[in-house]
Amino acid sequence: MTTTATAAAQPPDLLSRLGGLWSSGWAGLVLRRLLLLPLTLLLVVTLTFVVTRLLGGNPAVRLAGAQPTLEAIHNIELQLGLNKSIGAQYLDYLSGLVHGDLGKSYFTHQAVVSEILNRAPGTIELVVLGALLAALLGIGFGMAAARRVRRPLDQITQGFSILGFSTPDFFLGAVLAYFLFFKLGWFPPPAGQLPFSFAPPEPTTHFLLIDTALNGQWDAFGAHWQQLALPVLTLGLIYFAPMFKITRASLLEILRSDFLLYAEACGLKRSIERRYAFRHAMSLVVTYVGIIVAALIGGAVLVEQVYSWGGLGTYGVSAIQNNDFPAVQGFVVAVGTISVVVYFLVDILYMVIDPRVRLG
Amino acid sequence: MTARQLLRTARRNSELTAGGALILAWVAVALLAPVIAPHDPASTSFAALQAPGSSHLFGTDRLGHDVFSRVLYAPRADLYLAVSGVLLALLVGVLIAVPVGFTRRWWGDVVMRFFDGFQAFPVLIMALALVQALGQGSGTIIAALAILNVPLFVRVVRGQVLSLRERRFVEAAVAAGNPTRRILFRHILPNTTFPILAQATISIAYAIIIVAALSFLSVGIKPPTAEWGQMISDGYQNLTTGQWWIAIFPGLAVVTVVLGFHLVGDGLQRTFAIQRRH
Repeated sequence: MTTTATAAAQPPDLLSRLGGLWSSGWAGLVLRRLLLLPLTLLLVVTLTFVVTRLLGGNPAVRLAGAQPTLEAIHNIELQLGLNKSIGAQYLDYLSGLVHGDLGKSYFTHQAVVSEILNRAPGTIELVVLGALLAALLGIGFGMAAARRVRRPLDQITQGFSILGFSTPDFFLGAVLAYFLFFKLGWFPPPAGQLPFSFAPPEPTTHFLLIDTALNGQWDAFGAHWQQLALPVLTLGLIYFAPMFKITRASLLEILRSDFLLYAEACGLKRSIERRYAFRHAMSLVVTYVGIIVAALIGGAVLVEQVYSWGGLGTYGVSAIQNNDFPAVQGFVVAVGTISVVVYFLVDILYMVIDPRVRLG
Repeated sequence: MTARQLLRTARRNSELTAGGALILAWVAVALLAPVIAPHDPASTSFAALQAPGSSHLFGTDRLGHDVFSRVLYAPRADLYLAVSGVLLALLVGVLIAVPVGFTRRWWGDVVMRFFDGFQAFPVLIMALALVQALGQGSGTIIAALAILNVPLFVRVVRGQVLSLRERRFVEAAVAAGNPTRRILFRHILPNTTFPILAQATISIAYAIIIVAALSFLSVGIKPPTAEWGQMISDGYQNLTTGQWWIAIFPGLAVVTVVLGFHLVGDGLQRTFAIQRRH
């Protein structure tokens, strides 16, 4: 109360108006989150720089060939700017970042930014669809299981969930490719995002699903969906496990909570009760979907490998294996940025779902 | 928690029993591999790509290894690496977490924020980067697993210590004039056994998958040694030409042993939750 009283007593200049926006509801929360974004990113970027420099070997030695002379190594170091002090390298790197420049890959000599922009969309399609499938399966079965505790459906789905936790994603990917492609022939071979027989569409967004549709290449659009099917199914089945577990557990806790017991005692309709419970459980579930998407952006490497996807994960792995500093940094910055953005979206969704967050 | 208590809990908890049985079975296989394996796992003297049959139970691979013998020898690498990495992490994690949880000074928070930042990186990418930086080899894999898991143990143990330090018996121990070190390690630490054990089993489950995944990315254990991930990675190329046995058997081995650790972890957590409620 005192804060509103003093605020009203002062002339409403811009600063206090901003302050009002800052501390009130929706806009304030979004604003605070937005301001935190660059800070979090700076932390990620700096940590990446430190880790790649501290841990990585000297790329000049690798680039100089099989039997490098000291002079050759020194020349390469000069070219790459590796002879400068670590502080100067860090500043170079930061100023590049601000200008949207992540440097050039030591190996392909392409700009890292464009390489990442070409590759990220393929991974994003895969990961978002995989997480959506996992969420659909996990939330659906989790809700069904929570209402039938210790009955057959609950026990069977729990069994599948713990199997999902125990199966390496690359193994499941391989098994699905064997049965659904080789044995049954229901799906195309695990050979990348688009079969060779299709001309890739004009790259407008680099999202094949969008680009093929924009150009009206509907047969390529369909072929890309078919290529997506198996890796998406793999991710969906594996990440069904955590989605199911969290949905079931949080729904169970809410169904046993005082406020729902009270609602039941008041004779509220079952369907309304369920809606209350669902809404409560959703805030946690949404967080998990966000965590899964964020983790998979860099972590779907193995499934990408199995299906020769050639996405961001594959790029990161070969960058690390080659000590390709700019590419590694670019990869981590990309993964970090996408996760930070995903968490930001999750926070916003949270406010939509849970009024306590935006009012409290 | 004594051994007898653990046995009594296991009898009432089917998850613990089933999971424990799976783990014990694989540990037995690892120990007895030289006795029960029909062939030398490194021998390549058999005809390549034979289907499973009476002479080779799980068939042979492209190089003419006996797949069955390799599946039996592999836990010597996989279990050994995963368990050592996690135990090392447990030790370091506890040593960090107990004082960090007990102190009320500023550096406790600083240490925790450091671990928060560390965990922002994707686990597998971090493991890959560590192995790449430290150089390929089993010691490196153990170190990488330990580094990945330390933050998890720190978090679990610190949480326990935070709540334990407010308890009466700790207050009493302080009032009785015990030195801090004695309070930490005689009064607080023994009460954190259950959650540490649960975390350790779950961590081992994930560690086994990471060891296999590193091999799949060809930075893990080097080929002549039998290792499940290496076998899956190798056999994957044959899957799409129909030789399913090379990848499927080691894959099923990974699933069963990881399942065992997950079951035990879940069982322990459930028991702990019940214990806390009483």
